[in-house]
Amino acid sequence: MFERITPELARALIVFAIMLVISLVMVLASSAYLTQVSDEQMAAKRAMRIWQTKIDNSVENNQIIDEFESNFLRLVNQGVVGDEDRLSWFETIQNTARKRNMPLVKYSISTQKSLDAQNIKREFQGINVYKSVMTLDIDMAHEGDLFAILNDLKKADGLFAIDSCDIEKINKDIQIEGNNMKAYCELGWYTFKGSNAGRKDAG
Amino acid sequence: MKRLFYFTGYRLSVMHWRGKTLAGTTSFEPTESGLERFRNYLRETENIPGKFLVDVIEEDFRNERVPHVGAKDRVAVVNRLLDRYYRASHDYSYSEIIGREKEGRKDDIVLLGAMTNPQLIQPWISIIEECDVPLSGIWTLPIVSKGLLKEIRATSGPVLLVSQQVNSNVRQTLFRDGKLISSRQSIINQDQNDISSTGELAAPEVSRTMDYLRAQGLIGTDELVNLHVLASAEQIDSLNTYFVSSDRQKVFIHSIEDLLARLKLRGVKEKFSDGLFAWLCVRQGIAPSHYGKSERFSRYHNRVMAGALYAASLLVLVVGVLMTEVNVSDALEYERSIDLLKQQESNYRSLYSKKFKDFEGVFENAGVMNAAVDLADRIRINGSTSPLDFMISLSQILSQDKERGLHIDKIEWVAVNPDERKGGYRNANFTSADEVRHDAIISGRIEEPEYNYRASVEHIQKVIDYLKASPRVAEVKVLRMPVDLRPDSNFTSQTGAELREKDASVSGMFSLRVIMRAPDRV
Repeated sequence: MFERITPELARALIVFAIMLVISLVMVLASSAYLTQVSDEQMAAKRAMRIWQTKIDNSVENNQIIDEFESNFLRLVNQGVVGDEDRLSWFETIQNTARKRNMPLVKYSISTQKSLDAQNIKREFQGINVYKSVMTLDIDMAHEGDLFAILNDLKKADGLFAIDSCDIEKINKDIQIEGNNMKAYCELGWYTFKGSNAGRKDAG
Repeated sequence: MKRLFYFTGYRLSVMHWRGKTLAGTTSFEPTESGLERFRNYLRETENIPGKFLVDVIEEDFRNERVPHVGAKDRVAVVNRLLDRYYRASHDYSYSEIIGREKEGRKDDIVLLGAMTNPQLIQPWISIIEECDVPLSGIWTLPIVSKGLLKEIRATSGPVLLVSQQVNSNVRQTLFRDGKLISSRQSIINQDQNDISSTGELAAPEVSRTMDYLRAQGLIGTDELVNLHVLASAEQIDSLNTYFVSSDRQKVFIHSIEDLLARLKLRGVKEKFSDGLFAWLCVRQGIAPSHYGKSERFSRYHNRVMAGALYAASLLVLVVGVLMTEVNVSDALEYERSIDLLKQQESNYRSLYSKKFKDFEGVFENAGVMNAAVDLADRIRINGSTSPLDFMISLSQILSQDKERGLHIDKIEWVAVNPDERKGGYRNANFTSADEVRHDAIISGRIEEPEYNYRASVEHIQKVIDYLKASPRVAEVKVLRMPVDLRPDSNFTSQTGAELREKDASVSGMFSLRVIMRAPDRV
């Protein structure tokens, strides 16, 4: 086969090979240059975006602070954020019992526990939520006494929700005073503290 | 510029064509000096590729029938036929399937052709090879002349094309429906300087050819043949006299001058039709050679490939340059973009330092503040599901009951979330977006005198109906009825005068489980 290749064809093959090599070298060199410059451009873009994002986040955070600052400070003042104010709760119960002349109000509060992070939605991951369970064991003349205590506790420093409550009539013939009813309720007092991880997320 | 070597059986003419113009013709005699002149001519002129056209008396064409078989077998069959008929000139043979029989085995009809004395062109071919001239092929005039049929509108039926390329010969080629069937050359004794008596000399030869073709069965005995004669102005009168149409032939005489004008060929002599056929051969593009092994034309193929490679080299270079240019332009664009981005980054950095740097610590808490306020709101909203809300709602529902005697003695209340995965309910998570519902077991009694079970059952059923009708109530489940009348339950009671004096309040005990929706979910 090769013996039939004329010098003319051989020359053409050599020229083609040289052109191919020259073209490849040019294209590869320019591609390498392009890749390098492209990487530099990406790096510059990333650096620029970091600062752009920082400014955007700062503006956004500023807006958040404007919008939520007063509400947040209210939570701080109410003892929802920070340390819980158990004394305030006890005083509220004592005052209500005295004011309404309630026969017997037993109350207790368990140790504060952190809520399982898995039960807290992602949007609140920046906050550590603590819960203290309060039990109320009340002998009362009528259900209004229970509601008075619960309503007064709402005004105390803190945030609570009632988990359960058993209310039972112990005297079928209702008397004006005395132990007609008793109630046993469990309340959860919630307190928030910021977590480092959350701050990073939020930042 | 295209070059054609035109061999007429004795001398060789070399024609140079520039487009449709015959730029020049040189003839060489088959003598020692003629061959030497030819050699010198080739060495001294530009080495451009050439085609070789033969128009010799020593050519034979025949039709053969071969079985209609696959392509590979057909090649073998045809090769055997070529060996049989043209063993000495196998390299200068030609074959083409020109049709198929319509009846019987429906065999293929094959045209076989060959130069019976290839030694005639050998000296010329040898010199061409010696001078490294790229020869693209060897073509035979009868087959090339097929290209003229369209011009003279003779593409259908039996056509006998009569032409004269040299003074002493008349070429008669038979076509049927545009396909070559047979061709032969006859010698006529014509004066070189006076060709006005061609008709008289050619007519008997054509008549003999017609008789031969009819005898061979290539034309039907009484079939009308279209006789197309190419003639110069000098020949037309004599041809008109001796070629007359009859019931077996219809004569068409075409002026070579007119044909050359119609084909816009310039510089071509009008005396004979050699120039016409030479151009038909030259204008062929990549048509395969009629004669000769492909190895003979390898120099030409090499040159074509070399040309293609030069074109490809140029293309590769152009593409390479373009791609490089695009890459470099893009890179320069990126460079400019980098400068702008760095400038922008610097601006942002400066802006941040001026306006926000000092507040970084404050901003860190912004997300937490937002989340804390939202979470507190959520606990407050969920916390509105309370025993107070439940008892107020229950009281409103039961106020519809106008009958006396219904007493609620105990409520066991729990805040729950619907458990969509497992079904049922689980203890409430007040931080969740899920609805917090009331789940309460209400225990009480219906006071009816004398153990009136029917009245008790009807009364409690009415209460259940009131509960179910409320939009706040999601479910009501009876845990205990004053009387359990289900067939699969046990029931024990007592009656008598003594009992009537006792308290009847224990007679209608009931217990219901009520699931109530959150206040904001109705």
